[in-house]
Amino acid sequence: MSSWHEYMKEKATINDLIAKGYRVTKVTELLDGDDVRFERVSGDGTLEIEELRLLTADGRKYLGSVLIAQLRASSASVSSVS
Amino acid sequence: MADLRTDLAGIRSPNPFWLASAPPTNTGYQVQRAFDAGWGGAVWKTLGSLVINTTSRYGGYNIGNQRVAGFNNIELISDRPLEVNLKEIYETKKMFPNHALVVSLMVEPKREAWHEIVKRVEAVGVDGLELNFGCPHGMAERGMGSASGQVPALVEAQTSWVKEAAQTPVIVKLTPNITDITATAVAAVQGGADAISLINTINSLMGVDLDSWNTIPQVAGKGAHGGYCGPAVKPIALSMLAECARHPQVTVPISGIGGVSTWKDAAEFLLMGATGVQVCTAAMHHGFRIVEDMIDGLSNYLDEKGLTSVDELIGKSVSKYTNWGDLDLNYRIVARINTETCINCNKCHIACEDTSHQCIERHMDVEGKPYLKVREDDCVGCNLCSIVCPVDGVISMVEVPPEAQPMTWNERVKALSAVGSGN
Repeated sequence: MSSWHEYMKEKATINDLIAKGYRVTKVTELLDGDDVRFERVSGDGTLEIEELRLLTADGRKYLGSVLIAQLRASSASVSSVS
Repeated sequence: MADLRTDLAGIRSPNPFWLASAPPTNTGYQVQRAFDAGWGGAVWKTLGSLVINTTSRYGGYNIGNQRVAGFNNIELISDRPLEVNLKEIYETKKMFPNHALVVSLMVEPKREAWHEIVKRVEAVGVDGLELNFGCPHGMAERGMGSASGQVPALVEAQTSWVKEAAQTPVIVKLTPNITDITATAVAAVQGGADAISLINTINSLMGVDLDSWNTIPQVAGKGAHGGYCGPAVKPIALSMLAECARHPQVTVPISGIGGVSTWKDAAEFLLMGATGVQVCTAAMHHGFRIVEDMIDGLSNYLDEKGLTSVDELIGKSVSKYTNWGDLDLNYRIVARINTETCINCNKCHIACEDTSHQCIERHMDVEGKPYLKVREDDCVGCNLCSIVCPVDGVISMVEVPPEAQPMTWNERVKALSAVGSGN
């Protein structure tokens, strides 16, 4: 499989988790890829965790952009509250 | 017509093109001939402790049809008496008062030795001094040249000794034979240098003769490392210039040296922060009159760009040179092949298939005519296909919309650490 197709699958998984309300809470960089931990709090207050290993360089790059957007959004919301 | 005059730390020149300290500036006859041809300045071949040179001094490195892509020499500094040189310098300056006449100096690392030669040289009316801390062969074996230039403390000390005696601007010429040239550039500034020049020649052995097994060049069956220069060293020189030009502690003007052969090379050096350039190999290869094309070319370029003086060009690309970690990882280009002009040599396909990312496909159209197509999703924009393509303009590297906002490696690292990361 071309690395592009592999990346598209990783990107779709990341987008799907973000669309479901998950946030990136931890990234562990390993020689075999990045292990990414996603968390969300469900309606009944339960902490739900999903873990994903990103193998492609494009996937790890995309996760970086998603994470920066997440941090900027958090920072903006904190600013607007304060 | 744009104003080509330059001012390097107070040394004024009618144009930015100087001959570097080297064989072309060995005598008054040569320097006067160069000024007549149009060179704006010259750095006189290094004066200092008297030497004896070998015969068989140069080696040329030809790549394909390009002769003298690289050039090597094992010649030392001037082997003529100081007084003879000084007389010719005096005469030359009298004949060409508006040209920049700088003299290169090299003595053993002793304060008194520097004081003596500075006073004697300045007494004949030079415009500036260039300290040769770069020559990599021969003199270095005696603690001079690059042997001094590789030790920041020695660069600083010797520069300060020269400044104690000098009345004219002092340029410190740096060796590239060092891991980080900014270390010696900063040392020169701390020693009081008015300007720096770079690069001197690079340690080199030009080759081995496959019949005799002698080195190239060889002296009675033996060789020694020499100094490498010429067009092939330009990228190395440009990189070192850029590192110095953007360094916050390198606060003095820079004279750019290293593979400058055309006005375009000179313009690149100026854009990357040089106030002027010094040339040697191109003059040795083609003669002094190459400066005519350099002057015309640079002048026309400035006019086309709407610039009124060469000063407006200096340093304009320095801010575009940065650390790898500050490059945008989301910027994306891909290769596109013009099938109308492609000659189907398949070099791009082979290069990509064998050594890059396997994204150039070979196809047949409905009439059975072969064509090549880039699978853009898999193209990483490495440029290799456009580099190996033998026909200009067939392969273009084109920007495609990025998937996300600009993001550098350093920004990514910062973001990962903000959420907690480990490895």
